[in-house]
Amino acid sequence: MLPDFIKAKELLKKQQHRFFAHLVDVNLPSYLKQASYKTIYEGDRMSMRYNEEWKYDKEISKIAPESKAGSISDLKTNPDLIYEHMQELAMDFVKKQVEGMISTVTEITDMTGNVVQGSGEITPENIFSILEKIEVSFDASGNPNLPSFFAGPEMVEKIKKAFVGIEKDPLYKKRHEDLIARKKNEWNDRQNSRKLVG
Amino acid sequence: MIDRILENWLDKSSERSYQIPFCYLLVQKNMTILHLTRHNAMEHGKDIIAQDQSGQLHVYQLKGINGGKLKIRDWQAMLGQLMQMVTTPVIHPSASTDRHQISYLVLNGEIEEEVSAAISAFNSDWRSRGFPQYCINTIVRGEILSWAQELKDQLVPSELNDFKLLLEFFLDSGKGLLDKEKFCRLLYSIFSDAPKSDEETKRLISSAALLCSLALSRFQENQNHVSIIEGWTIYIAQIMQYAERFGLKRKIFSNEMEIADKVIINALDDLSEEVILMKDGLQSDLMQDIFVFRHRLTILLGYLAYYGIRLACDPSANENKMGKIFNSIETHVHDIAIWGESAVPHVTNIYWFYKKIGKEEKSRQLLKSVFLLTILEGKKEQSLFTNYYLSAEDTLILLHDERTQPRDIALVTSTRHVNESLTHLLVINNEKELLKDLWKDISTFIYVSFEFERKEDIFKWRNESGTEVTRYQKEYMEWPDFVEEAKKVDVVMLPSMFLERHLYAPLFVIVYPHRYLRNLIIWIETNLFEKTE
Repeated sequence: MLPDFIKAKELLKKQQHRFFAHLVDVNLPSYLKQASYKTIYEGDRMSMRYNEEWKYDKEISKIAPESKAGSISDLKTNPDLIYEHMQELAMDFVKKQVEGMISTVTEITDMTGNVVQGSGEITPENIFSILEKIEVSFDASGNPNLPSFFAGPEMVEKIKKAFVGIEKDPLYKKRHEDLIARKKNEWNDRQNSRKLVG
Repeated sequence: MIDRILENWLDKSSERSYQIPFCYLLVQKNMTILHLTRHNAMEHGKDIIAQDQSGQLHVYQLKGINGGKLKIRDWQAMLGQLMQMVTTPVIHPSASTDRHQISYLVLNGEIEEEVSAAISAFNSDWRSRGFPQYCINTIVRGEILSWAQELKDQLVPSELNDFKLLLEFFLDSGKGLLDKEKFCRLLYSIFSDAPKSDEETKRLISSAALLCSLALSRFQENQNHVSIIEGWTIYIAQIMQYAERFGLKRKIFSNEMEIADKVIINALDDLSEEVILMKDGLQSDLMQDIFVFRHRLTILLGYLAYYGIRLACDPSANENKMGKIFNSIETHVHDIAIWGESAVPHVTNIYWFYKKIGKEEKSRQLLKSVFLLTILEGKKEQSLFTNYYLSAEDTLILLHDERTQPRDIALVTSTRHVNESLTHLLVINNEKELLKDLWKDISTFIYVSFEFERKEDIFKWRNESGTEVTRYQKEYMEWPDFVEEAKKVDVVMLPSMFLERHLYAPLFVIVYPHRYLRNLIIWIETNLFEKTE
């Protein structure tokens, strides 16, 4: 058996792990950066339960990034190519995280009925249908914490156009303001219903 | 190799170190252990009192001579104690008084010829006077080793990795905190196969005890009482796991579990003596110790409180001792650190102790303090309050390592595992006004717990299968419903082993802080003040 450099390789492993985590962090889209992360220590399933109203169970799946490391002869000449390889791994890892997130969100929204059917185009009516379905929270100054729209590049342009349409049309603008006011009332009602009575 | 480990261990042991494994060897000889004396205490010359299957009592006085030879001057020095052992009858509720006990001098070494002659003369003298029952028998090193070697097959861990674990513990300095995960893994490896027969299972349980003693020998030598308590608590947990999994008959393991419990109680008593005399909890290397002594205090006071609970539940317990424990806790409780969720079981035991001895106001204040702390930590952008999978030492290392990034800390901080238990304890204590005042925060709580696939999985350090459950606090609640919810215990979910030994459970959650689960905590709360064992 050939001898191994156990201590040195442990150190390298730790450094590479930190570097990989940094690359993932740098490449993570901003909406995923807002999500909170935690370590899972045991178990193979997760369950989210909201009172007795709904329950969502999911198997914990592993994300394994894939990338080709390059030829051995290249690596022998330039071991730092490993770090370029890690960049590719990080990108693949982020891509898989996004795919996982979309799949989970789709499952939950299908389950809860938070779905708006579109025709391929995005109109102000579609925007209003979406906003009607969601809960909106408000900050301490009374400003709405409106959701981020998450879509492909073409769809993002369509959504932007729809919002411009709302802003420019006085009737749509009024309707939007009324909707936000209604959402504020709903928010206030929810906050006021946070009570322990008796 | 295991023979050399056994020899090495026996030769280096003091009488306190080999007392426990010797008890388990006696159990293998179908003895029932009735009594075990504490460190430096001996009851009328008797370290161990046992009874065989015919009801005959056997008493043992152990001496540590570290593989050497008992010399004549040692024999002369111990004559007084030996006279006490042989002549004073045993008084024990389980002991019958129609037969005198058989007495033994036990040595982890050999006997010099002069001593051998002296013992023969001692025995002849008693026989000639018509008192053969006062003769002394001897058990020496070779005999102890051969008994231990009978258990060798079960004792040797089957996997090489587990053998390495045993060696790591055997070679440990014994001065630090026990690596509980590794220790759990070591003992779990013994209990991996299904039991074959009652006799085999009994041998397995005794072998595990011997393994436990071997692995803890360095901690025993250093009188590291906390690690001894933790090691034997894990041993009991592994028996419970095995018994629950395979539905073992109680008679197979009850004696062995009783011995382990006695070991724990003795270690708790030794620890209490040390803490009672302790000035401020600081150790000599002040430059580093100043950062860790509060964490040490939390651990010490948690175990002290648990001992107090045990004493409070024992009608024959020494009230003076309970008073000293209370004073000691009072002296140091304001200096404790609550580094994260794994500190909460220690504080909860202090809360239970206060409540048990009638200090209701103190108990509620403590509970409220820790609850408020978790609320504050939960609201912080960058909390340092680690989750209950991280020990005090893990937390200290994480926070003091210059390579730690904020993301590393964010991954391991939480208050969500303990909040539900603390909230429900406050409900049970009728802290309605406090909860109403804090409802805006409480109504946003997210509770995280773990559901096991099998009941016995609670005793494993980690489980590959199982469900992490996330639940949301209801935003609107009526107090009577809240009380009903808080008091609800699903007994079906708890291992039957806990239900039979409820006083073990508060200790279990200290040693296994990641099992600070709402159902178990409320069950402990409701049982602690109703039952006695």
